[in-house]
Amino acid sequence: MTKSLRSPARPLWAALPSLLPALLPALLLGLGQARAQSTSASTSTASTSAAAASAVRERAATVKLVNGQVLARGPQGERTLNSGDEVAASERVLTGKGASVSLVLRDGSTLMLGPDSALDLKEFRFNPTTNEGSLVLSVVKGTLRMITGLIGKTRPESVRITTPTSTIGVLGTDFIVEVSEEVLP
Amino acid sequence: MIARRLALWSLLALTALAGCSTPPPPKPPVPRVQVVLLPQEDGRPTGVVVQSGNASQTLVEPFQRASSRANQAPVVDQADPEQVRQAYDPLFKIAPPKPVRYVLFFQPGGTRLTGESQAELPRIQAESARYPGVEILVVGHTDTKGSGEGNDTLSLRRAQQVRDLLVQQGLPANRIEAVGRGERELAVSTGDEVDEPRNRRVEIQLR
Repeated sequence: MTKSLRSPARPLWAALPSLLPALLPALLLGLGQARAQSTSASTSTASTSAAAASAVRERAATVKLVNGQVLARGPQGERTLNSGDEVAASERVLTGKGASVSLVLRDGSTLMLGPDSALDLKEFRFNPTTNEGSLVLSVVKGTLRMITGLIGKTRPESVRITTPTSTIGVLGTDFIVEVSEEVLP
Repeated sequence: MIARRLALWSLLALTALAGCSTPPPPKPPVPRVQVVLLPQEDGRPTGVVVQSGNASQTLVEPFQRASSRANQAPVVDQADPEQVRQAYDPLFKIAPPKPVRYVLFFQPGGTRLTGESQAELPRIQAESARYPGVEILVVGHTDTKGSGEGNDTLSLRRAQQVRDLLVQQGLPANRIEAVGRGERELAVSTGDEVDEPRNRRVEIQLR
């Protein structure tokens, strides 16, 4: 049922469509390493663009349904989120106890955040003409459900979700991520 | 000498006792991450790759679940669909309504809607009420009559015209995006310089 990603070098091209899910991990592994090295560079880029966007917050996502107390925290401080509000790249979305929220990114990716959760929009770039861009989310705690949009369709390797223990790569899909804590025996 | 030896023994005994009676200090909680693949409605190929502790696992079947701890390889099992729905109920309840699409058609050459399409506007406005934080994408297209450049301009004017009409219907202007694609995305493929009513259109997506 599950495929180990350790052996990517097989002649896959003939049966590409059915094997795509198996191929993807190899791709992502390589990319993950490349990205790990460039992390510091991309962080500084993000903060520069956040500073540039401080005059006009650049919309990355629009808030859809809101249930309970939901906040956005960014370079300009903290604010309560309501339906129709915009969230920018580099902002953190936080839900209170029993609260939840859904957002749609400009590429059509749908994010649903459960109670007592924190999600960072670390990176979002999207060109609506070519449908290309990049999307990096970080689930700090709690639960996220994501249905990927156009960036994931055009170039799956440009979509990445990081958590305290793992990195998740996707191929046009619907899935849940839960970050919890446990005390080991 | 004896006194010293006694002292040493009692010290050792105390240390041993202390070791037995004090509970070990509580271990700090450590993060644990679970990823569950959900079924895809449109049947497109789906997959999630979970990487941790220098290993990765691919989930390709619905309700496969990968659990990972820091610096450890992910462990995969099959989750029970009903349990997933219950455990993550808020994530299903908060899902926004699915986007809906409309196509409006134009009279030749300009930005005048056909009568039938004009009559659809109130329906689009009414439908938008179902979408909290609604966004409206308006994409204009042309047929192949005229130059490519001219059609880029015309398609954008068509989209802007429809945006204005939607604003008149009471939709929020700041959440309507008008884009022109010229004759690049024909609904019905034709040769150049072909008058084709089905290509003279604006596609509207509510989400």
